[in-house]
Amino acid sequence: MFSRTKDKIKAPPVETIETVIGPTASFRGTVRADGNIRIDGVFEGAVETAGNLIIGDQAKILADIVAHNVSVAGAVKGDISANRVEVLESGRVWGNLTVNSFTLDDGGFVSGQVNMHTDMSPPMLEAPTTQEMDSDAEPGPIEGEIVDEED
Amino acid sequence: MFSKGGKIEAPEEEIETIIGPTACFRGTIRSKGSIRIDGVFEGVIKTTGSLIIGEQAKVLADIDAHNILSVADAVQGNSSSLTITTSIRGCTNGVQQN
Repeated sequence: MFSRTKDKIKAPPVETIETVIGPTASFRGTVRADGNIRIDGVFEGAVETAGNLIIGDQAKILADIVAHNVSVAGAVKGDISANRVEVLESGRVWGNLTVNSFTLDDGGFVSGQVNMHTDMSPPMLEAPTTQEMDSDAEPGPIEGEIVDEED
Repeated sequence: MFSKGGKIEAPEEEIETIIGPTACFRGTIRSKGSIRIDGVFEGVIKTTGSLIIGEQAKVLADIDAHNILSVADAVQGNSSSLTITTSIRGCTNGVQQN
């Protein structure tokens, strides 16, 4: 149903959360899944899912995350790689994000780099053309300098 | 089916942690609530609630739970709980301490 290669753009609907880690649960290890995951408890290790990951506001996560979409309302320490990451009002992230799109709500906290999956070189500052240089070099009073000629 | 030992903090109907059918867990989980496993789990499970192991689940774990209800085909490991209930299809391999 959720094949990793074909349906990567089409994530399963949020309503069907297949795996839930409850608020009193504490997990240490790795999780791999194809469906949606919701974490409300403590998680340490690595999470990988082809579906969405919802991090509840009580959650404490010390893990590297790979998921389709990630919604952060709790605390995450670790790198996140996803199509889309949204950090909600109560969300806190310490780590680098690799995303296609990213939103940060008011009050949300992110400490780390935000990188895009596709790399793009920034626009270079071009050297000024000769014409511009000439006009710049036109003789005239230099601003701020006291000129006594008119007197 | 389940003994009401009074130590259960979460009601049995309320399953706090669910490991879905496509999920594969490797590690240790500790919880005060009930856990249901439908996927693959390898490691250690400790809960003061109940542990429900679904029909399709594959569990290779040392289990310490208040109750264990297993309808799975395969559960391996040592388990310790007040009650262990397995269905006709289910089988548990390993040391069981009730």
